[in-house]
Amino acid sequence: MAKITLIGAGSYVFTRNLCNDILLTPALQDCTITLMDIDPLRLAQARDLVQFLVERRGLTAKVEATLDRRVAVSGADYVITTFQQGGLQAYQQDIDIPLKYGVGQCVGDTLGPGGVFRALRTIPVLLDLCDELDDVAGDALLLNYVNPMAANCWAVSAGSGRPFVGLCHSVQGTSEMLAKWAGVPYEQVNFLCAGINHQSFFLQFLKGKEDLYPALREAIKDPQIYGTEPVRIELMKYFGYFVTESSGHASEYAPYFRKTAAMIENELVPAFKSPSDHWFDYGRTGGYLRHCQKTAQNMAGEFQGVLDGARELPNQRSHEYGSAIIEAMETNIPARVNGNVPNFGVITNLPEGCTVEVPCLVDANGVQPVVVGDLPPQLAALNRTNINVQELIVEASLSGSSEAVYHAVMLDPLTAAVCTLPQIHAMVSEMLAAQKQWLPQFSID
Amino acid sequence: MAKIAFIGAGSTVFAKNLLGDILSFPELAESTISLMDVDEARLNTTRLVAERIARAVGAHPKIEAHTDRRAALDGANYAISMFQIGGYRPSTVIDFEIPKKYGLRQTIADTLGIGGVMRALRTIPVLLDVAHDMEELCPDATFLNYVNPMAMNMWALNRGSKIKNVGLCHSVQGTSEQLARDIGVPIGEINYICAGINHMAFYLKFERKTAAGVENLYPLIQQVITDGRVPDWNRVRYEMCKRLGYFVTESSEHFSEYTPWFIKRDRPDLIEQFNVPLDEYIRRCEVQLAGWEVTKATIENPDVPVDRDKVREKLLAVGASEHDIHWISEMATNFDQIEQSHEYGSYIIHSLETGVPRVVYGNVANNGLIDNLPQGCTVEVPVLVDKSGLQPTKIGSLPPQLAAVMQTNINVQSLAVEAALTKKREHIYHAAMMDPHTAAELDLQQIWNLVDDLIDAHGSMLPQYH
Repeated sequence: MAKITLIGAGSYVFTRNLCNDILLTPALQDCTITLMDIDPLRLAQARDLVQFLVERRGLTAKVEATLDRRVAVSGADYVITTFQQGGLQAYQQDIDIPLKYGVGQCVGDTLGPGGVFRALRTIPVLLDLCDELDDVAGDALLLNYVNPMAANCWAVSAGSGRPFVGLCHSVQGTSEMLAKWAGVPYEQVNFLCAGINHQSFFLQFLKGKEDLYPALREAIKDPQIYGTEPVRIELMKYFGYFVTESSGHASEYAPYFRKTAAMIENELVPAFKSPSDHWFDYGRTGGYLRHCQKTAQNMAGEFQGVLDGARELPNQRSHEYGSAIIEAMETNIPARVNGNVPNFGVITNLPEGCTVEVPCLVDANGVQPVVVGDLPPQLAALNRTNINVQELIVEASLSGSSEAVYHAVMLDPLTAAVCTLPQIHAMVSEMLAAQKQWLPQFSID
Repeated sequence: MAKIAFIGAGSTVFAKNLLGDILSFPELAESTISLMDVDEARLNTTRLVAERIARAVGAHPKIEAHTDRRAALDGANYAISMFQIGGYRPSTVIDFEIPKKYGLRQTIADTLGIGGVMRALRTIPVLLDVAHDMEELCPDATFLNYVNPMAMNMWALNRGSKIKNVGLCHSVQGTSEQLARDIGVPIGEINYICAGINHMAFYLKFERKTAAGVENLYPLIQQVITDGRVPDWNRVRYEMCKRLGYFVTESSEHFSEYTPWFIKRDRPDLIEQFNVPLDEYIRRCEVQLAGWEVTKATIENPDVPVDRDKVREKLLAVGASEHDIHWISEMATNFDQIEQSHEYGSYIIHSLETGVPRVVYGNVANNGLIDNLPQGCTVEVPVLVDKSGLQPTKIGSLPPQLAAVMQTNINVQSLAVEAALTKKREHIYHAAMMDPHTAAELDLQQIWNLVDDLIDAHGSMLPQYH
């Protein structure tokens, strides 16, 4: 039966959700779940947690844990990556150094200087893993959850050519939210969503054949609703379509919202009215970093809570695509997911080979994108401003040219709106030096 | 509940199978079934059949019958076309007999070749009329076309109308089942990807998962050749598999007329060697007509038992095979036994209505699906169906030798479609000139004369060309 390996299994939330999903899937009951992390303590916790689920529910799945990645992936059918290279230490630098130059990032894991450096740290590890898979798990499908999704997947596609899919939950999460806004039960909506990860757009949002956009345009007049997603609602007003990923994220992928500290504090933050957006601190710079730091502190408690029985895990599968993909491939019963795949003729007005997030058919033949064609031109144009940065990240990572890192940040829409070229140069130099230990691809003095 | 219009519902046997499929789904059991045909007698027979099937499966559809197409399409959610313009007589007979005078022999003549071109020219104007009615009466409906020649018809529909559509055939499923039998592997264990053009799609992958990993089943297919186990009726396709490296859909009798290699006027030995059934479609039509008499008798007199010996005698007289006799007798004897067929039609409607995702092989416009075939031509590829609609998947490039064989057929299709849409007579000549089989048999003047003769013979069945 299927061997499913998690690389970076110490990521408590992902491991908990993905493994819980897998164990709730009837067709995957006889699988082997192999957990791997470089941190022995967190690996042991992950193993205890998954083993606990298996025993508690009297299941037959086998759970293994190892610090040795090669052993972990050897003979695997599915390899799920959830690691964070450099951890919170590097992430703190991703936020702090750009801030010195006036670039205030709310999340900083997708684009912007933070996204660029997160990709530069991650890609060597991913490519190394792909080489290892070529050796010891030739047919394994790589399911990548590690951000920044688009740049990471593009590098895997260009640098290794292995079968992979990049996964996120922003399409599911956003569609659930929009269904609520439109007042339609989620089972009754259907949609076409396409673009790039974290900046895909709902090209259609329907109930049967009824267009729900008029209902959404009505709903956003409600100050309560507007206050939960002011940035995405502004984008919808001016671009015509609703974007995936949250307002905190969306505010930093375009130059319009975070030009100065005063603009963030006086205009952006007060636009948020809903307490549910605490995880990115209402768009404040470093909001998501602080959330991650707090989660890390609480993690041990949460983990113990599950083992003590104080915290129940859901008995329904989550909306993460991971287990659904494995199930569809194992059973040949088709499923539909929005996956991140190479753009070989899938979206015709985005560059060939870049990573696009599109509807995919999954069955025993693997993950098969459906052809989307042209996006509305204004959406393609916005995507392309982000793809510029991603392309240069991939160039830097595969060629080892630190020159391309400077170019990547120069093309970042937010950074370019805030900094001059000499400032950008200084910022990148400082970040390259600070993160040297995680950037083996560059020869940095 | 959905309204499903059957256009050409007088194709009673085909309509029966689809009705059984549709009404067996609980979610579709209360659909409105709107039957339409220009032949009132056959329409009434199908209506009786529909009511009988509904009873047999315990469904409660609303069944309507119309000779007025617009009434049938008004407010429909789905239109399924299954008609034949010109019928066996006179049109099909003309398509065979006139070319024969020039020494041009055909087997099926419904896909390519001069017969396929003429069939397209008769059919496309009617398909476009249906589509234009739909634009007016049910603009959001999905058009499921079963009428051949598939590739030309769909290409014309996509050029001439905005109605959502898909072209359906059963050759992908059918051939995979035949291959599974030949290699002795249960079809349920087999996984494949098939892509190309209708009747000429190839299995790019034919494999199964085992404990030891994925097993490529092509070596087992090759083994059929090596062991001399190729079925007599299937020699052409195995020969092509040997020469191209991939197995093709549809059938050997079809394939023999899509290329210049099997039917040659000075090579009777090839007909023998590859067991090519010339005039096969004529024989089938005769069998079907005889079979229809049997079926019709059962429908009209359900209490009179079927005399199998008499049926057999009647069918043998028109050249029926044992297989034909078997299925015609079975259907007449067990008319109320409904089994889900492998036709995609009902599954598509069910997936669009309920959102249950399914994969079907559909004929759709090549908008970037197969990179080394022309943009816009009709390709047959895996299509994801769920409540978001029919979503073709990206294939990329085909092996170059497969794309090249298809291009020779697409040449003909492009010109036949051009002729049908522009009404320019010259493009009919061009289409015939590009047909691989016709070009290998006739010179250019013969081809032009042949086209002239056919246009004359079909008379008012064709629109005016200039």
